[in-house]
Amino acid sequence: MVQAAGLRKRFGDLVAVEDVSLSVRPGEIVGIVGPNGSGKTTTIRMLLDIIQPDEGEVSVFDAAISPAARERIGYLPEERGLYRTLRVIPNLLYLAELKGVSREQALRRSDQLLDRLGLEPHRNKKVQELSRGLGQLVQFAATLVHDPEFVVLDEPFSGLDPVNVRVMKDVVAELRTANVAIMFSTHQMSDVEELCDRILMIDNGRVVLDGLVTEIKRRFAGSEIFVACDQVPEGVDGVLEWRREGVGYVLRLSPGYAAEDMLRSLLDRGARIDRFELATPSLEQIFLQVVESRNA
Amino acid sequence: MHKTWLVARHEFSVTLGRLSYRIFAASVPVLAIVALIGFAVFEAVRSDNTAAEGASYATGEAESTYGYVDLTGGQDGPLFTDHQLQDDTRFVPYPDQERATQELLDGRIDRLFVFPAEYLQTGAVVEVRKERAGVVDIDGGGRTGALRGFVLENLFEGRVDPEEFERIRIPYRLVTVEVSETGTPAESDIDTGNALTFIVAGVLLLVSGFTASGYLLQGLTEEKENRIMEVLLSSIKPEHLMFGKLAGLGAASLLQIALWAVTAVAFLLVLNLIVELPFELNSEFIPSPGSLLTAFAYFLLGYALIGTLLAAIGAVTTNQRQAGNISAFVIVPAIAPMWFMITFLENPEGTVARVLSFIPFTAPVASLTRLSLGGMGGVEVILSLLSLAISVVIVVGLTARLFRAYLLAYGQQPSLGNLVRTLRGR
Repeated sequence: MVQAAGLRKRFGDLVAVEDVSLSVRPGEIVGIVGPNGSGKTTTIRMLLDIIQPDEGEVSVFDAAISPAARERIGYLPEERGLYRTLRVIPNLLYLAELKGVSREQALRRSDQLLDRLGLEPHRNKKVQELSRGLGQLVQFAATLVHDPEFVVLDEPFSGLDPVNVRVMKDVVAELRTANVAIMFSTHQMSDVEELCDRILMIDNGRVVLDGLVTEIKRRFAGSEIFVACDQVPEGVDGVLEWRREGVGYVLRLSPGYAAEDMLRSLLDRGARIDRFELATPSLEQIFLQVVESRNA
Repeated sequence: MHKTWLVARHEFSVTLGRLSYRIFAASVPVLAIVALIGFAVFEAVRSDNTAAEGASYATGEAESTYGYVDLTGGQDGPLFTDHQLQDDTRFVPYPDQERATQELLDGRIDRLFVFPAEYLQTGAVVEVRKERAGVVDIDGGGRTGALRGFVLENLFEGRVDPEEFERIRIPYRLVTVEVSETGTPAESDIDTGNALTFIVAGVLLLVSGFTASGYLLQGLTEEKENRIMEVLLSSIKPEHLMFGKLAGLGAASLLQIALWAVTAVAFLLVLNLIVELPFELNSEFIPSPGSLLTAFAYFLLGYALIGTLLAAIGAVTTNQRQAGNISAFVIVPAIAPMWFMITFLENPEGTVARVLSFIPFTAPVASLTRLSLGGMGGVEVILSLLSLAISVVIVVGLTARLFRAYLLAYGQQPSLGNLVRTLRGR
């Protein structure tokens, strides 16, 4: 549905993005992660035709991006922006009309979104009268007011309280169910783990990791297992070292020792096991590991 | 095109919602209403006074009372026997100077004039006034007017033709005719209505057009500071955004001008009902379609040039203060012809005036000024408008490049080298 191949962009002497390729399918959430200044926003701007790539191609809805295609895209930028002296509804109507939606349709959809996001009491307030969090929800409504088929969310949850984060996440989940293609950029790896099907990690303008979240985590899992039990029995073979973690233990296995051998060995020694699984690193750990290894 | 229209409509309504725009637009009608009320009150007071004077005339009262002693005598008797009420001044005859002087000292008369026996030969009239009556004679003008009327009417009215008497009263009205180098009367290609049209267009360009350009600059920098620019650019091309803004703010500016024009016409019509104007409101005040079109073209192209240049400044600057400072580089050249106003008045066809009419920055104000003075030919107008139009097309193209390159450059001031590279499309 949305594809980019070999994107390259330089600003003066700085190469902001180099050979970035990606794809987002309907009903899929792709997380774009990376350190500050890694090229995430530049990549997003090229996808949205806000800036032109020096090299590479972007296709949206299976064709080169066109004014009609732009109308089917919703964008929540990292730097939030609304007309502060205008009221909520005129803001939404204007931005919806710029996306080709009729005024009546925009008004109807605005009402639905304001109701869904709990903003109904604020519909006639000026944006400058709203708190930062409420303003962000209004911006989120503006992103969706034209019923986009491809949504790009750049740091959508920053500055929001947990209640509003939940509301926004629920709406994002509803969008995925409605077969909307979603790309979101964030620094919060827990959000990526919770929401994304796939991730694209960018560092210094290049893609350093790309794939399904489950596959990437398995790839970085290594030779550790997590066992939820009262205690690790004495004299278990194949354990190089172990440490307590939460309700159980993380065991680092000796080279050549498989997880099923360890399970058998534990059971043979009478251990009472509530949970036994590969100890996969969090995305945050993977992120740090990848960035540090590249810097090294 | 549709999105350009949406932006224009949005800018138009946002501008109309600005308090500063409303105050500015309403200032002229409010001032006109206040002035009309002032005129009406003044006229009412004046007519009351006139009525009182009419009554005082009937009862022999007046605002000022001048005494006079007529010693002219002669075969036909004294010269100054009639016309003793002149406007608000009553002339009271006294048989001798001694009694009249006493009346002056007692304050029963304000001034005393003595017409000696040899008045007709010498013209001398003696004014008697109290010692230390004041260094400055604040009623000198009124005294002279009343005395002049009193003397002229007594000497000539009824003794010469009314027309002759009018010429004695007002000896001449000066009419100037210019001649060309061949000695034939020079034809003036300007009349009152057209001259007014060009003057008004020039003033409106300076006031309203520059204000709209200022709003454009303010709106752009606000959108950059508010970060809404990125949202807008995900929906609309930068050049369409720029055209929409120019059109919307231009329309708001034209609406303001229309309001002021209607106000001016209504003001004159109502004023004409209240007071007697020193000129006649006739067809001379109606401009020709050609003049209107020319003035409109200069206004529109001038606004487009200034507005686009300010939009370029808005695109490359990072905040309103910085944008405001740099905008002086555009505004100052545009109003530069005002510095040469004396030169224009002295010779609207001179070299300075001609050169300024062809420099795009100065052309609108310079040409409108020359046109109002009747010092610009048709060919010059066409060439001047053409140079202005070409420069607008070039500036719009270059500004679109800056828009594309720098609208999202928050907090980053592009270097001069980068700007030049962008303008050259590299």
